[in-house]
Amino acid sequence: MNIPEDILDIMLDTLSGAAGEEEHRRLREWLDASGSHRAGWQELCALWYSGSVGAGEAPGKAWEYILARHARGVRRRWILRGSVVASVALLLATFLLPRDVAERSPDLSSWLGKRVPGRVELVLADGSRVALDRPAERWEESVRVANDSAGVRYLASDEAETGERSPALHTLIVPRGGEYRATLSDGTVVELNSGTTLRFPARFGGETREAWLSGEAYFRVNGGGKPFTVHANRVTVTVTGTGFNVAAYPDDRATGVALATGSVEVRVGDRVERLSPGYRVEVDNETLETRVEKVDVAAIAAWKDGVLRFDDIPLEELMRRLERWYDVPFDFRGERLERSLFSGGFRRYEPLERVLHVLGEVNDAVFRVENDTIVISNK
Amino acid sequence: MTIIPDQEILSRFDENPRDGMKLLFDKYYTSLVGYAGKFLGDRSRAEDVVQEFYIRLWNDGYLKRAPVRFLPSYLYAGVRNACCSARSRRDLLRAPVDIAGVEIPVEAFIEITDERVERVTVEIGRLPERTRLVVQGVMLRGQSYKEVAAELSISVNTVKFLLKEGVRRLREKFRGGAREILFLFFGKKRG
Repeated sequence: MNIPEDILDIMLDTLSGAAGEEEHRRLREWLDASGSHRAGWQELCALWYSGSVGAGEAPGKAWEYILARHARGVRRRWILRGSVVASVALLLATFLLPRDVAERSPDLSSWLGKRVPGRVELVLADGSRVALDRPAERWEESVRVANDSAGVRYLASDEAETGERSPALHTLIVPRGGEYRATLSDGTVVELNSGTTLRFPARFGGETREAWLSGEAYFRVNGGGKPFTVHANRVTVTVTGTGFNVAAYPDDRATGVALATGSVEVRVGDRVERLSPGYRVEVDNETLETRVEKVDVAAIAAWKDGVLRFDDIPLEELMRRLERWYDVPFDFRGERLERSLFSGGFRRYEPLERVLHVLGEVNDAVFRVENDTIVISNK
Repeated sequence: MTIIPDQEILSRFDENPRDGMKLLFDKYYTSLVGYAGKFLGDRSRAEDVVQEFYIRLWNDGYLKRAPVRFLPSYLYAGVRNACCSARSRRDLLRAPVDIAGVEIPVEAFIEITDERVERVTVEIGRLPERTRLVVQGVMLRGQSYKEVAAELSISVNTVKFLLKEGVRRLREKFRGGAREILFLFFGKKRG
């Protein structure tokens, strides 16, 4: 956001307390004019206050005053209790609910509050389903399978015979709104994003290692000779030891493979693309056309570190991602919004109300609940 | 100077409230006073309000209930409330004063993380000397243009110029990182 010179002057005067009412009025007018103006102001405020937090030790007199008042306060706290309780409640209320969201859409908050998150499930070879929300441990074909609410680990014992029998296939199902980590029996670690299914053998025997993916996952493949193959939509990815992200949601337009380290081979039909680190191949799910481009792999795989980032995507795609991450259906009306591209990001565990609040503020959109769906429209 | 993580401040408070409060004081006091000043338009009143706020945090132990990940938002929202009630108290005694000011968006405080504070601090340290002194005076210590001008024996206009220079450089540093700034959406027309 480029802030005009004269507005930047007013902003700095405002932040340093030197601005008068006329300057405030002009700044408010400028901010009211557009969402990107407000985004620029927010960015500057965040910079300013991050700087002031780093100021270091504050004047000693204030601290001495607080110490003295604390000592007195402890003795007569019972007198104050009523007002303290009230202020705590008020503080928590403002903290938990952005004012505007609460005023504009009380139904949105209560509707979101009532939704129950889905559970991560493991489907065993015999078809039985096990919920993985509580810590547990079981043995499957001489493999110890231990899980807690964040991940599952497969630990093959050394004596596990490698062999003749085809190994049992397990399927891990991560619902929308969830995420999970699996450590496979060969030590490969797979981070699974929301709305993702991974099918893999409880232990790897034979000459290859294979897994089947629908959805998005980041693989850190343990080296050790045998090639590791991921089947995703109509794409096959083969590696030895490396880190890479596969985004293969069946309802997306394309399947993407982005490489962080090492090297991978991506097979589409009878064509093979060899990727170098820092590159991504995108395969159109319908036409199977491929496109290789240099990308910021860390940004693409940021989801595994709890950050959701996106770069110039249409609203339709942003909503599809929010549907997966938060497990809520969206619908949008408003032509102006359909023509917009969005860049940005937020922390994964940000409450959806806050995300929608900011999204609405910046883009002049409103959100409301209709027939169990969040409807977005122009303000 | 090292930035003490919020997590550490809160666990220190659990072990030894006095030590924890001192860390919380050193880290946020100046910034909160600057923020309160924007509501009250008066630095000494801002100091009073923030001191009262700290005492309430401590005496009721309700720092214990603070959410670690959003500690800055929690603190700024609390000070904001305290300012509003301080203003209405004063307004009972005096004629109401219209200090509308300009809203600081709540989302800006969500973006204040330990990591970011550390990065901004490092970048401020790298500014050319006079620019750095002005930024440290105005942004970090909350001094007025006049105070900083007197301290450095330069004119108020030079202070304003150097502050803008400093902020411009900092914004450039974080521009590649405009994308690093979380919780921001930019809508733009499909071209």
